[in-house]
Amino acid sequence: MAVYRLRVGSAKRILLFLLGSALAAVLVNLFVKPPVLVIYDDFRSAAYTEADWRVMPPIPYAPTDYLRDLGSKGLEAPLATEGRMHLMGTEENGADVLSRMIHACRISLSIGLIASGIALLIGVVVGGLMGYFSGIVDMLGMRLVEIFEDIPTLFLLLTFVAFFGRSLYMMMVIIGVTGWSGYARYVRTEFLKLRKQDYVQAAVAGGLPLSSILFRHMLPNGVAPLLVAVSFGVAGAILSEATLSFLGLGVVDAPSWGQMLDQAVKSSTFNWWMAVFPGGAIFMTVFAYNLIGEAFRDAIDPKLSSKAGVNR
Amino acid sequence: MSGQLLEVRNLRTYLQADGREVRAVDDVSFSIPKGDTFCLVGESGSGKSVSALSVIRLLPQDVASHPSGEILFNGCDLLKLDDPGIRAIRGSQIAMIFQEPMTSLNPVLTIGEQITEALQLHRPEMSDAEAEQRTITALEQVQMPQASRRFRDYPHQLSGGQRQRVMIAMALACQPQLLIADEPTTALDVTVQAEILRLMRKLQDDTGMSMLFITHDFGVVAQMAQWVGVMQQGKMVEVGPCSEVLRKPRHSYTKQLLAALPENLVKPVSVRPHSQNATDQTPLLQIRDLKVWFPIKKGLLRRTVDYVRAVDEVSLDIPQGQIVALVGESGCGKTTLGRAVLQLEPPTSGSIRIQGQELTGLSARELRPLRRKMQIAFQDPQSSLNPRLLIETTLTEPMKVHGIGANHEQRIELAGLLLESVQLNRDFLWRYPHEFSGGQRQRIGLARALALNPEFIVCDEITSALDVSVQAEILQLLLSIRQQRNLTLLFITHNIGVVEYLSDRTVVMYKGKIVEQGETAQVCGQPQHPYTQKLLEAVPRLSL
Repeated sequence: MAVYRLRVGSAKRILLFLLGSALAAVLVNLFVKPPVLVIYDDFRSAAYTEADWRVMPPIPYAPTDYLRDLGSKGLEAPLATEGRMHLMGTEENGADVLSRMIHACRISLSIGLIASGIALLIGVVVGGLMGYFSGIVDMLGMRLVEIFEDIPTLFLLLTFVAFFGRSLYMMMVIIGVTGWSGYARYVRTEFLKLRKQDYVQAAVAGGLPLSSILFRHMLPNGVAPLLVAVSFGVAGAILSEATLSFLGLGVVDAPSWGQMLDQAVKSSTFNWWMAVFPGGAIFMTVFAYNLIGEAFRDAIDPKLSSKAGVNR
Repeated sequence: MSGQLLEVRNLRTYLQADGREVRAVDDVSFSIPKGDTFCLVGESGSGKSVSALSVIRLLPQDVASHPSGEILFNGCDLLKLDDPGIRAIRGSQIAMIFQEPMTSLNPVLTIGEQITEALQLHRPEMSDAEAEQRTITALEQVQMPQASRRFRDYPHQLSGGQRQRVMIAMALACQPQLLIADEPTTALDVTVQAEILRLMRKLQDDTGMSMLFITHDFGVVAQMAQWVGVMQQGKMVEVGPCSEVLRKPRHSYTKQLLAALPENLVKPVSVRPHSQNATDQTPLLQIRDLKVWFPIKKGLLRRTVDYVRAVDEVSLDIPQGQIVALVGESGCGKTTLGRAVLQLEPPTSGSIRIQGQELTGLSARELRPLRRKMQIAFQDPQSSLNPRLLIETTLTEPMKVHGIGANHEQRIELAGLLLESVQLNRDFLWRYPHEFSGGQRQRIGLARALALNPEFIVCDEITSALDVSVQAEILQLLLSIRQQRNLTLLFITHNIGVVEYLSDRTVVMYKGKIVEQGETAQVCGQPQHPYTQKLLEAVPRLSL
């Protein structure tokens, strides 16, 4: 019962806080007039407007600014142009590659995190229930897993794009909803092993609630293989989006790493800077997620945490 | 010196671990006369296995080093031999058998193939037919029933005792002069252990080989050894003829070990307030016709073809405030019974009542308030505590769920008191399980069971994985806790010595059924059922 009261209490506190901040926002809007802030999509046009001062970004080119008026002919190699500084060259339409790379981060990273977040959530819950209850729950769950494994994600994506148009959020959800089966298998196997462990039995005998048994006593002990799988999953989701963009079915208006790779292949000549930079970015991201996965695994293991540099 | 087969002089074995040097064996000397058995006794980590492995040079060479010492086998120093030299001796003149019969045989080869392979390796001149004949003879020697048919069996078709017989046959196939046996009967039931020990003595009489026998069980020592060496932390603290060491131990450590044996423990004058009116009082726990059957499913439709009757129509009363020992060999259903009582294993049919309240058929929610009354402590100190949680969390979480203690600070205070009641330091609350020794973990496991102030605790072999001295401490602790809290215990064990020391009543289980129950003194003194008689006879005892 004490648990219940605490939860209601903290929920109330959060509500009060939200209400208070909403009220404060209204008041602030009434009495304080902020200065008009102009954000230019195209940085250069800011130069022609009458402003008191301006702050230019380190890369002074917008991703959709094709620089025609500056005489860009497109596909200029890095640092090859006089007068303009393109650290990673320009693409076929004449836009700055580095600027596009930076803007593409948003799509690639968010699709990786959100899609595998959705997959992880479904996978852990379904797999956990399968492993803990086993028997008939396990049997039905496994059939569900098999059904979802049979869905070809790419063709499902293509179909959805064909019917509902291109949408980044739709892609995240579809990649997430079709990608959880592997996680569910990992969690299931771990839980099947763990449920017979004495400390889990002791937790059952202590009358602890199911959520505590599943997520406090079992999940942290079975999460190690999952973390490695998830770091690959994030990479997989980024690559799915890349594939789709590569096929020309990705997001239209914003650049993404996959779309840039697609451009590199479609141009008639081989321009190394078009392929190396987005490809390298995908590689480094995947690599970084793997390292994070491993470090996280070490950090939550009390035996290894001192070696991993985590202070207790 | 003639007549000495093996002489170990001032042997030191240092092991490298994490950049530290561990003196696993430190200046150990002993000798084994031809045809005699030398027993190395000691607690876990005392260096007895490392000594034996040093003799046969099976330690990994990059980890182990021998700064001094010589091992003279028939006058030849084994430590000075090169690799081919030691390989010629290994297996053919010195053979070894290990503790775990379940994993020491290759599961994909028949036992015949495995023995002939060992044989032909050392006797390359032997033909296939000849080797097969020798193998069958060896199997007959170890009293394997239907040896010629068993030749083509795979390890999984044999029981644990039979596998250990195969291991012995394999070791003896080349007629070694020295057999090193590293706890060969520890993983076996007492009745099987008695048969294997008898067999090994007979084989020794027949072949005249010597044995280096490693064990932690003084009962086994008394049965097997002519000579005993007691090891403590890598040092040999006492060596001598078996009868002398066991009867008149000189070293304080040997005395301490012998005193820690459950049969030698001084039983405290038990104040049993309830023993008098135990019969007219309703028992705390009543079990009636309890069945726990596990279905065996076969075929595409997973139809149930048969059942494993783990617990079969068991009826049992456990009176308030008593310690009831549940005895039986592995696989007899005693652990399943203990788990079924706590509803950790759903019973197939039957009834379990605690203080008159029926437990079977309750939902998890209805069961939760009753969980406070009954708890469990486990056998394996490695897996009984959640490695990811602080001891503090492990102890306070059940309290929180059951509303014990008004707030977190109070619960931490209570948890600290619990640790002190199992004779541990209060600061241990802030540590993780991997920082503790096996005995300490078992104490924490007990503290967790006590956290909810239960009336009844199932102790599932809680001392089996512990050394005798630690076991003695835990047993004494249990008795004192019982005294303080008027606890009722169901103590599951296979160790008869522990039963005699600890329990008021004894229940003997065999193949899922209770074959005998009664007052401990009566059951152990005048066993009625033939199985109980066989069990008690098989227990290796220290006849002093």
